[in-house]
Amino acid sequence: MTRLAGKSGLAAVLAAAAPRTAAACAVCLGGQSELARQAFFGTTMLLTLLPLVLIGGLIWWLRRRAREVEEQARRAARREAVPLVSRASSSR
Amino acid sequence: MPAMGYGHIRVVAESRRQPLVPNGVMGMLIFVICEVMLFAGLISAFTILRSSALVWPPPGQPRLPLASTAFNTALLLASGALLAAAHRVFQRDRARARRPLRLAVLLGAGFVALQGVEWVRLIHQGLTLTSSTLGSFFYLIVGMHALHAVAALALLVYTVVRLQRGWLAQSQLATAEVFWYFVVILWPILYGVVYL
Repeated sequence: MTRLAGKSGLAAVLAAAAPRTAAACAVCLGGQSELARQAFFGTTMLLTLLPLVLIGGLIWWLRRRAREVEEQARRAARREAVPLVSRASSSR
Repeated sequence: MPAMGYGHIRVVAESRRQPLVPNGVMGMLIFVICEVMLFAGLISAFTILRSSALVWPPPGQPRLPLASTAFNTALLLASGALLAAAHRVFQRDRARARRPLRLAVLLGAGFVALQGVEWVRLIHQGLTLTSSTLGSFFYLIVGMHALHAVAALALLVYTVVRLQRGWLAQSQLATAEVFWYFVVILWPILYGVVYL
């Protein structure tokens, strides 16, 4: 039984290697011309990279904005800092 | 003698945490990202179909109007520029932002109206949703853009009304701007892919 299964497996692997070309999608007619191949490649790249670029861009922009807000708060705090000596001398 | 040594006391008021970006703008940005992916899918499908076709455009179908749509594109771009100008004016003097904002709405409405006229002409010439793959994709892609343009235009009109009543906040204007800029920037890409 195991020998039979082994032979069947080997036959399946050899059968898979038999065709010269294999169509990835049985119903689409792409891949026939160089132009179509380029279109498939380009659109695959577009749809793969676009979400990464968009989400990455949003995160980058939010981080930059956070730094700006932090810097503004730090500057405002520095402006509002009151020297202790001047306070003490004025209270005397 | 001073009670404490030299130094500074930081007088920092208890500040409420402000969001980095107004909620409306953030929500609109997320929506726009989703819509960009929708249009990327449509453009990809159209590009593959076009490159796989033996003859393009399909025989017996009318040519898409290049010149009048180029004029329309210019209208939309001008509308976007006017909205950017309205944003700058709004920061200095709210009342003076009315004029560029109204003009932006007017040009945007002109774009949608002229697109409608072109559609009617194309339908009369025989380009319909079922006449060819070009017709199907043309009305799907350009129609989706028109739908977004109408929605963004409605938001801009709402913004103008609020500005006239003195209720418009900076964040509300920014939210409408994000949507309109998406519509404006997307159109030349669609023009290049579908018309040229």
